[in-house]
Amino acid sequence: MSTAAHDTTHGHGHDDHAHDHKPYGIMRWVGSTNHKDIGTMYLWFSFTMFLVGGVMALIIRAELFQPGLQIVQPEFFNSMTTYHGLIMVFGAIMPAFVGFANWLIPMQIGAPDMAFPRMNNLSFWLLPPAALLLIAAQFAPGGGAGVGWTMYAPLTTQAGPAMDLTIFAVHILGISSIMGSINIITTILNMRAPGMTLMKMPLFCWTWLITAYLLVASMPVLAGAVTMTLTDRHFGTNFFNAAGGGDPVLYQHIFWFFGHPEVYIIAIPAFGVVSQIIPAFSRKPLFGYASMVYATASIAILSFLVWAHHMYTVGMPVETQLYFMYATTLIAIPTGVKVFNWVATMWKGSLTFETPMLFAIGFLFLFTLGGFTGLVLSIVPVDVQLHDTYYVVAHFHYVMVAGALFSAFGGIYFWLPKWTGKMYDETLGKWHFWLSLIFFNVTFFVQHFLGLAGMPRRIPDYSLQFAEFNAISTIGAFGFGFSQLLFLYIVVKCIRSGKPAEQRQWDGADSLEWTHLPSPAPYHSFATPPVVK
Amino acid sequence: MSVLVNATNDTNEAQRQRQVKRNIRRTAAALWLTVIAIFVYILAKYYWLNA
Repeated sequence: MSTAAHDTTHGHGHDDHAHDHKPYGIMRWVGSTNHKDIGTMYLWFSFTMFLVGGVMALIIRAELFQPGLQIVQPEFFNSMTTYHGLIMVFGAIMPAFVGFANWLIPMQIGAPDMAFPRMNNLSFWLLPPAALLLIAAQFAPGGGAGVGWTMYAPLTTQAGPAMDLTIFAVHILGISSIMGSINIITTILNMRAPGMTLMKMPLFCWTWLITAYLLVASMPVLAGAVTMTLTDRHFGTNFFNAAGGGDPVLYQHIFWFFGHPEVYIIAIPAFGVVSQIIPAFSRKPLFGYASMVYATASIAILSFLVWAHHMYTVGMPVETQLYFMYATTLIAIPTGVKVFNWVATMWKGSLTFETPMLFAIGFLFLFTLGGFTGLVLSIVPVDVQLHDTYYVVAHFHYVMVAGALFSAFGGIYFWLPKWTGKMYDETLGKWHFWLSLIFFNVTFFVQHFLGLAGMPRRIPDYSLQFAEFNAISTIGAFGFGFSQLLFLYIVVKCIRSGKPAEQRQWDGADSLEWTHLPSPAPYHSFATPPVVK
Repeated sequence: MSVLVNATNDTNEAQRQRQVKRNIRRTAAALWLTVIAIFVYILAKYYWLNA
């Protein structure tokens, strides 16, 4: 594991710094093949999309503040739920972790850059056009496609022109993800520094290696599903058209064969980030490194075997339901191993609670809660009651927001000193954490109760009995949304006027970027590879 | 900059770097083939099921 970094050779980082030629102007970014620049662009892009998707979320919550139709028409509301989901999943969270991967993987394995720098540039620059297509879909005749982020047939085969823009956007995003993951796998497998064996890699690299395989295996399946939707719409095929001999349920099977691994594509890099932060602030090596690797791989494999738990209610044999129920509950075992290891890492550690550690601990509590409600939903008779209710919305927001997003925030605070060479404002960082934690729970905890009481998701109006919890949830959502502006201020303040950071800002951090490279990390690093013993 | 380490006059090192480049190309080719195979399989399987 990363302890290997302790006893390595050194000297290259400072040499690089002396010859740190950086291109200037707009072409530095447009034509960049530098993994650090591309990582930076990924992170800023994902934050921009996070704000766009966040505004959509606030439109949804504003409409739901009171029963009845107040602010938007139902068609626009449906469009908002659709594009909020698509933009947050494909435009915000996934690119955020690809940004981390670009910045960190070459530095953590001692490589000078990614294996395919030009493809790396292309995979980033495919994202803005795809995002513009998703936004442009709102202005298509008939408005945005209100089909839900899952894009179920037959609704999608009947939706207006916005659906075509959406399908095209999903194709582009998929190609970008595939190129990114091929680059990551190729880099990790072939460009590790001498002595950096797979089992010495920092866990973040392991989690991305496994995630990249998940992407390679699942993204073409999504591409197939939306291509079939496209040909059903325009080329006379009947894959999902029951009148023509097709089957709408087939779409759900294909989509969720992609969709469940997608959950882990988002969650596993988040595990990797947390696995770097917790040991650093516990001043102890990660407990059970090998078991973490095997648990992550087990989760990845199991994620391909459980897809139909998203569709228990379509009508399937009891035996099939039983299989998917048992297979789903099985995921709790490797996930439990990981949670145990994170807690055991902290056990008797010299703990300090700087902002990255706060977010990591917030992640640990809330992701575990989201995982636990996932277990509740895996039980068939329970899920039949809770399917498509706000309980499901609460569940996956605990996984996606308190899980992935909190981990990403923690990671940004953790590596910001290395990336910028400056230190963020610790007091404001803690404010950001506590505001996010409180408002997140105000928003989403009450949604469990709404779901248990039977409130369906994806509706702009609701029965009076749900009014109080919806009002609370909306207040929480606006609080959470505005708290993120504080995050933007903290990052900008850090870049503009932060105090200089040390090479090893966190004394418990022991991977190569902390032990071998100055802060900020030089533009070109490890031109001569370190030797890891 | 080059994705590989600085070139040297060392023949062994040059040979090692050529091998790394070959491995990079092979890994990427295998992954691209996997992606294309899965995509074609999904479309072909359900096209023929429907036909």
